[in-house]
Amino acid sequence: MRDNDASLVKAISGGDVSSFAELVARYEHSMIAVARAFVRDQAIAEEVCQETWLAVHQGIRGFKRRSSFKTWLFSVLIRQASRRISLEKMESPASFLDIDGKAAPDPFNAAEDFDASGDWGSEPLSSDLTPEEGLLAKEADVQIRKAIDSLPTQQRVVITLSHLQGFTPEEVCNVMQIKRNNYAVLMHLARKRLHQRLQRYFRERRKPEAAPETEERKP
Amino acid sequence: MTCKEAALRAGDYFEGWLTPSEVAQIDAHLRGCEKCRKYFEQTRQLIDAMHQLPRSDTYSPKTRARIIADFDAYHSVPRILGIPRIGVLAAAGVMAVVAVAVVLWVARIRTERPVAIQVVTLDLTDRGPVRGPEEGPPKPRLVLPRANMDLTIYLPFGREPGLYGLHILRERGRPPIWSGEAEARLESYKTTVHIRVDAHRWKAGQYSLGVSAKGSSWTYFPLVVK
Repeated sequence: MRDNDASLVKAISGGDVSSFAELVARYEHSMIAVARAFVRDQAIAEEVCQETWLAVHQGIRGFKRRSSFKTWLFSVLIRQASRRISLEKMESPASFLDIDGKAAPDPFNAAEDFDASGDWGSEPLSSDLTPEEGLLAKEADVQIRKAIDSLPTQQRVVITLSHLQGFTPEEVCNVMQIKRNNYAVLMHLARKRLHQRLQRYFRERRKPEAAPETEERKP
Repeated sequence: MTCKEAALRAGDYFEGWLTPSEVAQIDAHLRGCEKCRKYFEQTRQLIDAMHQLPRSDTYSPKTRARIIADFDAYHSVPRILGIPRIGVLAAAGVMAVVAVAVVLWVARIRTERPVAIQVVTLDLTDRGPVRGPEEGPPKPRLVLPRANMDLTIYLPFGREPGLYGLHILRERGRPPIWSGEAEARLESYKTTVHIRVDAHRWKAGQYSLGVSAKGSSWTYFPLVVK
């Protein structure tokens, strides 16, 4: 638990509204970002966050402090978001994140990048299509956001938690209830998809006759 | 270390989540692997770019106000172990009533005195149907005590041994308050029935005892319970 999460959590159990407001502000950016990784719509993401805090009030006494408050909070958030998305799509909440419950994705088959000996089976991402200065340019922000939004839910959530919100691998695995090897595969697949999408964008952009359109075209 | 092992750790490598020995292993692999160097460089650029993304995600003021209002509303209700106090008190009241009822019920069972079994005889031998005017002094009333009893009934003369139905009712035409079935046997030249009757809860008053050989009509005898 963060240094003063513990004292804030204790204070909110007793109804201290200023401590609660501090805790809300502390996790506001991360919570809304993770909620948006699920539901995308800003208004619904905010509702998910509100429902999460309501669930926190009701469950705070049951919080055993075996994990950090942060991990517990985001587990609750992901449950609420999964429930919300399943209500809208009429699917089981588990179907969005339960990759451990399904046939475990084999890193070789899932990534299709490595041969049986663990060497690169295909050429890794080529380095000449996504110039660093291009990636760091302001206009690329929009493209990176779009690329992240285009990822499948699991990959979008794992990338958001890890690279955008700074969660440790252990925290991501605890929050998403996944195993470490599945986490690694999801991260690899997500980065690969992001590369491919951004490469297509920069390839289009570098064509002198290309229209100033930012959306990539399907091959 | 294989290329796969290195590549699957690339994100953690740049985020600083690996141990020094894991970093050293990956560095050693990268020195000898051109493809992985290329992959890691691309991964670094991508992660750097994601780190540069502005963190613009915030709640609307309306949502923030609602979250705080929810907190206030939740804590404005007095609670016991997270449950509204009124709900806890209501549940406790219901449980207390149930507990008192159970205690009273158990106490009643425990304090109820055992009822003694009395041995009672009803003699119907001279109360069979007679032809012609009935002679002799009036017969005494048949009396049963308000008790649990082992009842012996001497059936009227002329009754054959066999299976008999018996019942006791308050008024003719109303359902019996007790009924039973017993085998009548000849004992000392009397057709006798033995049967258990629990009458300790009956009210005192006039009753009728119905007797019927299996398949025959019922004969009723007036009876007093006291």
